[in-house]
Amino acid sequence: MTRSDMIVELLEDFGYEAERFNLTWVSSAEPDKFVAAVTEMTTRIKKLGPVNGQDASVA
Amino acid sequence: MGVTTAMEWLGSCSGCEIAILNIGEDLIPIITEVLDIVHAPVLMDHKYFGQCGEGVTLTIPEAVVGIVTGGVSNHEHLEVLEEMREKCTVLIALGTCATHGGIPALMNGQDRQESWEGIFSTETTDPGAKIPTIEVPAPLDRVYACDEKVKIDMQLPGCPPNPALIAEVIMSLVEGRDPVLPGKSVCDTCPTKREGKGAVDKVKRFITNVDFVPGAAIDEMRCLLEQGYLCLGPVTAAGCAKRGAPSCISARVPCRGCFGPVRKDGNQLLDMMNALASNGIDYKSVIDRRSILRFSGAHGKLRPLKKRVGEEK
Repeated sequence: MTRSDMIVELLEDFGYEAERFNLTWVSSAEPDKFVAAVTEMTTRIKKLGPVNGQDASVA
Repeated sequence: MGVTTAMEWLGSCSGCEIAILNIGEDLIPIITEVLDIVHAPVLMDHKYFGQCGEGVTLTIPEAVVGIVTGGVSNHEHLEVLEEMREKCTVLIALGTCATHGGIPALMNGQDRQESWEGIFSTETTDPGAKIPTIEVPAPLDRVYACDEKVKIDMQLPGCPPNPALIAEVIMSLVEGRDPVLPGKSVCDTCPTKREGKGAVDKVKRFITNVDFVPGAAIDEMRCLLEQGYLCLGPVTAAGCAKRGAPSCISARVPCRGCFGPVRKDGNQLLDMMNALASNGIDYKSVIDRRSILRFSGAHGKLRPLKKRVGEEK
């Protein structure tokens, strides 16, 4: 059991999408993997939008 | 005449007011000499719009000390709270609802519209009955703690608050000194025996009694966390201990967290999970984790679970 697994579950408990967290292991000799991970994360977050995006409108 | 005092209850169950009564004999000098209560809907007939309803705006008399209990869950609560802030020099938030949201803030973990409809339509509701919009004040978007809406000068959590601490807060104000309040966690005031975690790697559900010798003193019982029960002692503010041991522990029951987090901005769920993970206890063995925030769901801590949004194609 790792703490990163726990973060995924706790994010859901607190009402955030678990996809907002991601852990990737990249060696300093793997630039392509790093670029891919960052790009993937950026597009994912852009798709999810702001954290409060789905909240009910203020009464 | 004593110090003018206004008391108000918002989204509250009146348990905090009963805790004030439970101060006992010390209460008599407090209400006869120390305080001069000018407004308290729970105790006396004092109306918001003049005694004959002649007023047009909600008015609470000026007072030096204001005591509010309960959280802010609808527009009426908000209006009353803002008027209290306006008229009182020192505003005290009394009880966990006022300081951390308390039980009413459990609703923050659900969809507000669904909850609201659920409250007003049960199996016995007449067909065609509508959700009232005139007599019932409109709800806010979620339940708030008082300090999210106005400045609060002193916070005294507890569900109910400890009568001795209420008396201490009132007397310290009148005497112009800082109140002496326990600042640490429930565990710091707990006398149970700690022998090390041992073989605990899962949290047990509280469906069997804890292990103790009936009639024996509390300090002869082993720590309930070490016995494998989910006791919220480490993440809960101290203050409930009345006869030596924390209240629930002296009833041989694990702490439920009713005094809210130890630090004002603490997060009971996160802190508890952190504590479990650091000790190698499987956090997945905790059933309904979100209920650890049952007393501190305001301040945006408890939110509805995200509904999965389908991929757009």
